[in-house]
Amino acid sequence: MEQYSQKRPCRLSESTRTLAKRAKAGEFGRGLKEHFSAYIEDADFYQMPVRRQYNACVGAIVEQDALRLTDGEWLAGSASFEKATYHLVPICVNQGAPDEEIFEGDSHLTPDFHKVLKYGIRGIEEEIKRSKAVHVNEPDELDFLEQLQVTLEHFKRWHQRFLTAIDERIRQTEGEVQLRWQIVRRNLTNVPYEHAANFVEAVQSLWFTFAFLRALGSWPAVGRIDYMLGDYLEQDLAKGVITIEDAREYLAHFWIKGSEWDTLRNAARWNREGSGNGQLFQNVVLGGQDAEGNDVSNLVTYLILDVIEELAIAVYPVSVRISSHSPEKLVRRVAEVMRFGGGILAVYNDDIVIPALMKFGYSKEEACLYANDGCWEVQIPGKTNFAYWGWDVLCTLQTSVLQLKKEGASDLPYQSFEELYNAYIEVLRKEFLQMTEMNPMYTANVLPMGAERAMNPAMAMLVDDCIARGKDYSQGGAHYCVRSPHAGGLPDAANALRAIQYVVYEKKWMTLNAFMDIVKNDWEGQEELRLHVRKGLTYYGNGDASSDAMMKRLFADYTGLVAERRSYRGMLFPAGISTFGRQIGDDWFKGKRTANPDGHKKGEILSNNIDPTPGTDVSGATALLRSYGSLGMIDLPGGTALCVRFSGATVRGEDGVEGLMDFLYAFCDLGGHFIQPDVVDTETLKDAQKNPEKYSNLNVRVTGWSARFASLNAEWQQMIIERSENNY
Amino acid sequence: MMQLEITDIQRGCTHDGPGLRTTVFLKGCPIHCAWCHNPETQRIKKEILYRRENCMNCLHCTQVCPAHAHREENSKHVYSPDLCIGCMKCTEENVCPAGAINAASKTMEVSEVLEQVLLDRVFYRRKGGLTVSGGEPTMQQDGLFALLEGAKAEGISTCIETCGVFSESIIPRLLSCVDLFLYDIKDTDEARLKANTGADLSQVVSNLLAIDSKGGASVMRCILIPEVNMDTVHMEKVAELFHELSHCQYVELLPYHPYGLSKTEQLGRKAMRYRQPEESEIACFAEGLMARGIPVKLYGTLL
Repeated sequence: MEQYSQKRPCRLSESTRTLAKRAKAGEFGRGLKEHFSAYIEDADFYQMPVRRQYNACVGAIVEQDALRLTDGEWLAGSASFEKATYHLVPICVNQGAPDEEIFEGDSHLTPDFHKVLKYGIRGIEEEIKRSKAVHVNEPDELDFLEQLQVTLEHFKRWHQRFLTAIDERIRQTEGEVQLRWQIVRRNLTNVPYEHAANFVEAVQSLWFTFAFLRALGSWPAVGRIDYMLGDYLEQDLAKGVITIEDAREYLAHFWIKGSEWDTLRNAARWNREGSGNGQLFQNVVLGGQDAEGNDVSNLVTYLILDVIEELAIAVYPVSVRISSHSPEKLVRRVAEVMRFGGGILAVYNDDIVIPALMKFGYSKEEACLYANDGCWEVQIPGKTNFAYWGWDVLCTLQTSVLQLKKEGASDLPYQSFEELYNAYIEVLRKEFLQMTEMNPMYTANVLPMGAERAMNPAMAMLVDDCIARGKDYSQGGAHYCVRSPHAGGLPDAANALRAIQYVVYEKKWMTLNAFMDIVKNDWEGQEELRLHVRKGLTYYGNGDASSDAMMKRLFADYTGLVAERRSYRGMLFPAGISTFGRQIGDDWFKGKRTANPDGHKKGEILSNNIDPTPGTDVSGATALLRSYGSLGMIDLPGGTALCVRFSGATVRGEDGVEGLMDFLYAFCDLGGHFIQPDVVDTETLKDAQKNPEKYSNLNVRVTGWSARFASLNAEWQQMIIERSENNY
Repeated sequence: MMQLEITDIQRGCTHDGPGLRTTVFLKGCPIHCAWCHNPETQRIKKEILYRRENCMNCLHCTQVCPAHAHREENSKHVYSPDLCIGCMKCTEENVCPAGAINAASKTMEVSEVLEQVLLDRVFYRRKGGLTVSGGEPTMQQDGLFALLEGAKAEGISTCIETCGVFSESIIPRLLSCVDLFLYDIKDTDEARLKANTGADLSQVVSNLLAIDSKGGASVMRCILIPEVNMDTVHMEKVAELFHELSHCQYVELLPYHPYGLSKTEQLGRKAMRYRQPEESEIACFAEGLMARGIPVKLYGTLL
């Protein structure tokens, strides 16, 4: 019967498929163990000016890099020091501790790789020279620009070392393997120094530059790969210098190379314990519009979808930009790949994201070019320094407003529901304003040792206006400095308010203080009341306007108060909503939360991002989409992610594809922002929890990323299992 | 005011006709398949579904039940489904806080049902729409017509899922408001069909032929149950019937799955259990039909 069941297609060559298998088994990721970091022995290291210290680190990395080359690869370049997966510049100085934080990497941004493809490193050299002429009388700017030049020399040296190493492989191998190395050598000869002259050079240049940033401990996103590569492929096909099959192979190798940090275990030390093997922030965005608003989807878009469908490599979270007007061909292809599960594909709605960015203040051209950071937070690529602020608005309600952590009997001053509600909004406003007044450096990914060590010349070359201003990426060089407040627990807070409104002010069963005493006591001895508010009330997420009303009001007030201060001291504050798993684990949100007035006891796993609180959405995925869409995503420029889980049976077959297409179009029509549909059965997940060895390849969407289910710890696994399954 | 007795409105259905559909399940069925997936739709009278595992012995239900179907024994709640008179007092608000007692159905105005269906209109943009299932939807004939005609008036695609047991006289009106009949052919052996379901084969077949002769589009849906109807004779008869029709699009095979078992137990009835067919048995049946030139759909795909 196998011919009737869903099977992944087989389009790639046998050797590519074999290499993909090795990558997916974590072979290259485990290989990181062999090379921890580069080393510097120099007693005077810390006496040098900081920029010289950084330059010395880059120089040592470039010289000592083991240069991983694997026979059968179609692309060269690798980030092979393990310490880079700590989100640190992989260096150890004077026999210091291995995990010593000397310089940190950067993540949560899409750099301007397109510039390298179009103009080459040579173009950047010229850009630096021009800027030096402008800043000739500003010593610090000049010093920084000289650092960029040193970095470029190191980059060229790294490139040269790769070429020499490949020459060595050519001498040592024969037959097909040798021929492949000869082709790789040819493809890498001119790029990235020169602009890419064809599709193959463009893919190689993109990977090599990306790998260089990662080799220095940064975790950038890839960005709009089909937009960058589409024209090259079209021209080459017209000239007859490449076949579609070969183009697909090259893209497959880009995906295989991207697996080089995948160890199948918890991603990397920088990530939270238990959050899975896939959180490497190497986002890819497909489709969408160019600056003039034209659809950019092209053959590369479809070839990448082919590769994902066939290889099921999940290390690049892939977001496809669609809209109400997207061609059925694209939406069908997305649905076809999506129904295999694995949580690899997610979808943005251009009909909302672009207007939301414009409403926030970006130009139409910038908004049309949006990409994302390490998960799904949208940003203007190539010109943004981005960080978000994880803000537990449920904890604020529980602690500051309802005072559920205060010892003794409750003694709250609120005379009416409106008083209580307004007090809550006031506290949120105060907290937001406090956040905007923090030093921007302390909200970025900088080391505790001080902001002056926040530098990243390699990244700065690919982010406007670092070169023009003569300033580093984290020192005011980026055109936009975005600090996005991300409210977490908003649906839970809305539920809590609704439960209070119902019990105290509508049913008048007890006073607010009496009710809060029960909640404070973790519902001890009040099981009947607890079940009543937990199950007897309909909350956000059921497609019912009256049950969504509280969430809608809170959403409007939250986005409204954040919009009151759009920017301050050069920072921008677009409102977003997320938890990114902070509802899990005692060290983050969960540990600080109390029992909730909506019938949850202390320590239960609550809402993820903007998903309804687990168990409260009981009316199916279409109702959930309507609820979510009704909130008004145009006022959420920082965005939010909705997770929806379908059973395999629901989306199977051609009928399933048709259904998913309807679902995706409706997502756009309803004003959705970003959605991560996943396909996996609850039963499968439960079995995988018990028998992880049987499911080593089971991938699931976690929140902004995907991971092997087996690489998540029990609590993260439970979150996925409790996500409502839609099974029809 | 026209009313319907509804067991469920299921949204986002992918396998109940073209595109994404909202399926309305009506209570009441003239036949009683031993393998029924939705046993709560069989009887027309009101019933409750009781989940013993949720009960916290608060005993509120024993105080409202006039028929002693819910009663207290040794401080524990005991439920006897045979005594239930369907008054539904135990399903009223604030009676069962534990979610152990749930109404198997609710009475809704047709306009209210239509409103619920229209809520998902945005999902019907391409091919989707309303599917009315059951039970046998024609059991609630007046409400059914009001619902289907209301949907047509709104320009929404309509399907009904039917077992074919209804009066021939309603066919013209059905044709005016149904775009596609999902027509169950549960068995083609007259005696077996009668014994297992109570349906009369000649009525089922003649209604289908009548619909087809007047241009009604249909899909034949065949449940496959080992040791019941997976033999060659049945397969051949399905093929013969298909060839007699001009507007039947394909045969859809539905391998038996014991979905209905837990609900049968919640209704306090004894569940009949069958073996699930092996993939090879399903393939054999499908290939037999295909060899006879019949388009076959399985697991959502035309083979």
